[in-house]
Amino acid sequence: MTDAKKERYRRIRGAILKLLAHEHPHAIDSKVLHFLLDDIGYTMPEEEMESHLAYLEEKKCLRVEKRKSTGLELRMIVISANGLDILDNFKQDCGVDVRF
Amino acid sequence: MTATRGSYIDENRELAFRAWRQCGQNVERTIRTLKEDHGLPVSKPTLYDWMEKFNWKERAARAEAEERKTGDLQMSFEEKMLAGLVEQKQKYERYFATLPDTKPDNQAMFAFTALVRLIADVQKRIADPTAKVKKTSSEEARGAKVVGLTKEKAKEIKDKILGIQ
Repeated sequence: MTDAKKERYRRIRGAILKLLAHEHPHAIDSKVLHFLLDDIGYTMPEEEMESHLAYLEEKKCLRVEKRKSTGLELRMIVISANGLDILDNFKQDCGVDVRF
Repeated sequence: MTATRGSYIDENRELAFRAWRQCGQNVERTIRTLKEDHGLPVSKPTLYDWMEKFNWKERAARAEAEERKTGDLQMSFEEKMLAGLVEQKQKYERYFATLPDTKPDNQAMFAFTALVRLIADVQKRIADPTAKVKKTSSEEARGAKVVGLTKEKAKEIKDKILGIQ
């Protein structure tokens, strides 16, 4: 993978987390998230979007909440505490300061 | 020295071309706009000379055709996206219909609300691509929660949420 591509992937994942953090603790529908990314210039096919979500889920940065009913499936994405820690640069510590 | 002078004239000519298009290709208004808004005095013969020498009419027609084409492409993309979002909204509605009244799904409700807001924004953008989507007072009160879609909103997302300059 080229460096430019790697950098793009990193940025897309960062953008996903930032958009999710804006809605925290609530969820964003996966299609809405895909649309918003497209709207800010990160256009990608469904498969690539799935890959980023799978990556971030495996890293425990987000949770995918599914709702299934007869003939339909909804997927909502919520940022996790781990994802927020990455955004806030708390990755090396636990993101809780008790020095007061 | 010649190059500097040349580029200065080129810049002014480009400015005059843009002003001429913005003024609906009206020469009198273009001259007034250039003088009042840009402090650039251009005489009528000079403007006519540029128009003829640099084929402004042809160039403007080409630019307009290009803008129309871009606008059409964007519109069809947005309409396509809107259809997908509306379909998703219907899925939520069907899902909510399956839930018992006593057991609401708050997470799904929040996602649904954001989806509906996004659909409204896309519809507004399709109806009037230049329209700014006004925030409701409740949105303002909540600190300008952003869900897409006009150019202004996209810029706001980039600046405020993603921190991209």
